[in-house]
Amino acid sequence: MINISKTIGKKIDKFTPVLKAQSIGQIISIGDGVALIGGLADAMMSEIIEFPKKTYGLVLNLNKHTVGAIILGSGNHLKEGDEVTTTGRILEIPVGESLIGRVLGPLGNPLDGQPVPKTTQTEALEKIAPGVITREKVNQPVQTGITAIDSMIPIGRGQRELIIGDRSTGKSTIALTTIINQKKEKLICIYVVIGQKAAFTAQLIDTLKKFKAMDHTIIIAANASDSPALQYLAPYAGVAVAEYFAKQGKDALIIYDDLSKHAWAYRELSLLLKRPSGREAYPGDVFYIHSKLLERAVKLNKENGGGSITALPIIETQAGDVSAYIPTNVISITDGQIYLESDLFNAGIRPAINAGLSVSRVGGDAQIKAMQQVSAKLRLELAQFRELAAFAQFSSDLDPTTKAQLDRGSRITEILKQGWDEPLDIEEQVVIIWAVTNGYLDNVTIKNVKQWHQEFIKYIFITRPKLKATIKKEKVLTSKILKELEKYTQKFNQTHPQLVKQQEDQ
Amino acid sequence: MKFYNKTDAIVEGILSYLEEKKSLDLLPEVAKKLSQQSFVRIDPNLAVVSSNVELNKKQTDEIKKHLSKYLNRPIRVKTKIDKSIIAGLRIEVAGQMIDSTVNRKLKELKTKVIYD
Repeated sequence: MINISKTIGKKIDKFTPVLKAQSIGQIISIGDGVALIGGLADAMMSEIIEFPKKTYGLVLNLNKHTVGAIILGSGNHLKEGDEVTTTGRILEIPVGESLIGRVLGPLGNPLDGQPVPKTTQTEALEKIAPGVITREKVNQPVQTGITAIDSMIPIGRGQRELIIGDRSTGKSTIALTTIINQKKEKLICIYVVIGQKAAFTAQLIDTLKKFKAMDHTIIIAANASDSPALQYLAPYAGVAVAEYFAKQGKDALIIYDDLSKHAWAYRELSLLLKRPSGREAYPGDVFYIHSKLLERAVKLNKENGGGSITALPIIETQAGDVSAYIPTNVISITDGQIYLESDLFNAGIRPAINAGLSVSRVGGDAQIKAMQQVSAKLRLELAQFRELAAFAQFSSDLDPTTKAQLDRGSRITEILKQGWDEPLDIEEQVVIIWAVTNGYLDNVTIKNVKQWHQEFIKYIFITRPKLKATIKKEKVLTSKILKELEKYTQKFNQTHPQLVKQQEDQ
Repeated sequence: MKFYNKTDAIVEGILSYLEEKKSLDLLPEVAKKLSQQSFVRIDPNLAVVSSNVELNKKQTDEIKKHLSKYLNRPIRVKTKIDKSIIAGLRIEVAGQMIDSTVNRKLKELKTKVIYD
């Protein structure tokens, strides 16, 4: 009791009233998190305005006599006629190293039950993306640890790669595996949760903690129960945090899960603000809200610190329809997409990546040479397999070449299957892709492929402990390495007859 | 009776129009719209000065002089007595407010103690 009165006494002592001319307005109407305000002649676009009881709002509409604003947080106590004042500030989020490992709301408020992170700096949520002078070409890879992606749809630091697919096809899982794989990579991950169930966020935190991945991760969450205003702001808060790290020359990875819900939240706000609606009732600037967000993904050049922000936006399609409004918008903004299919997912091919429709427009430059060497062949063989597989369904007897191609293709498919919690090192991926595309698995039955894969990885890196380091250092499969690989893969197949033999029995 | 004499010709016109159209039930809507308009329509040359005690002519003139100089145009001053402000002055002019009342300071202190 004494302490409380002491603290209050201290606060009263510190209080010095300031006298200044303030721009004032009054609430004309309020509801659904949106307020229409009369007066407030000095209000600026995107300015923070103050309602009674320390409630803040964000100016989104400037009309002739009125101002339209969204209320940040709860506005249940506000009523018609309440006084509103301008603050002269724009929306900012406190940033700093102390944010790592935390779960925050879009305004920087902690959601993990721990005290407010100590920070000294702030970053503006709305900012113009870095210009051409400060940028350079994507030239370093982001290793997702997923063989299918790192080989065929490589992602570079500073790239924007869309993950698109129907509900429950493993979109968030790809992002999650990528975060787990960044333990050694010095990549700060920011996961922005937009309009998802709170249970999803809780599970995400648990999983990341289990894999000790929270040590390099920040979660910014606006769950389904948060106001559309907060859901709309969450990705901008996330990228503002990423910009803080990029400015220091560090590499950041940001995941927007997902932008369809972000567009919904913005549509809701726009309709409440009575903005004219267009296609599918989205406002006219729904393209711009996504393009200005994704343009902030950047690879800075050396003069500007060399930091980067890689963006992995996620879009949920309805019944596989990629030609809907928001999916086409985001596809056109990003530098490629990873397309997930529910048919593949249900057939047990996980990650359910459709290799034909997925592309990466800039990532190839960032791929390490060794991977480029092996993945060219992989892509080709997989494409041939897909073409043949469609025809082969109708014919019973196939010529040996076709059959061989089909067999090779199904083994490649098998190799690309991967558990979400088993990210692979790039060297392991290179070796296994080399083995399958060079026919070392042709005599292994499909059901043994997984076991072969695991045993082989163990075998090759135990018998040749220097191989991993050599590939990492050289970044190329030199003829010397190739010879070594050939020799030991043959030896492995000889010493593991139980994995290879069954083919001969068939 | 006193108010009746003051009824504006326009208001009378509107009322008779509504009666003619049998739409007098729209009156609350009209009133609502008008009260909303009152939030928006601010006379840029009128200053409303609120105080606890009545201001004398000299004080009002002084305020008028200063405001006209500050805003660079002739300002009319309307005084209002508001007991809730305890002490000090509140001047509202052209969407701006200068508030030096004790009531305001107490309110600010309250928000600071509760929310900071």
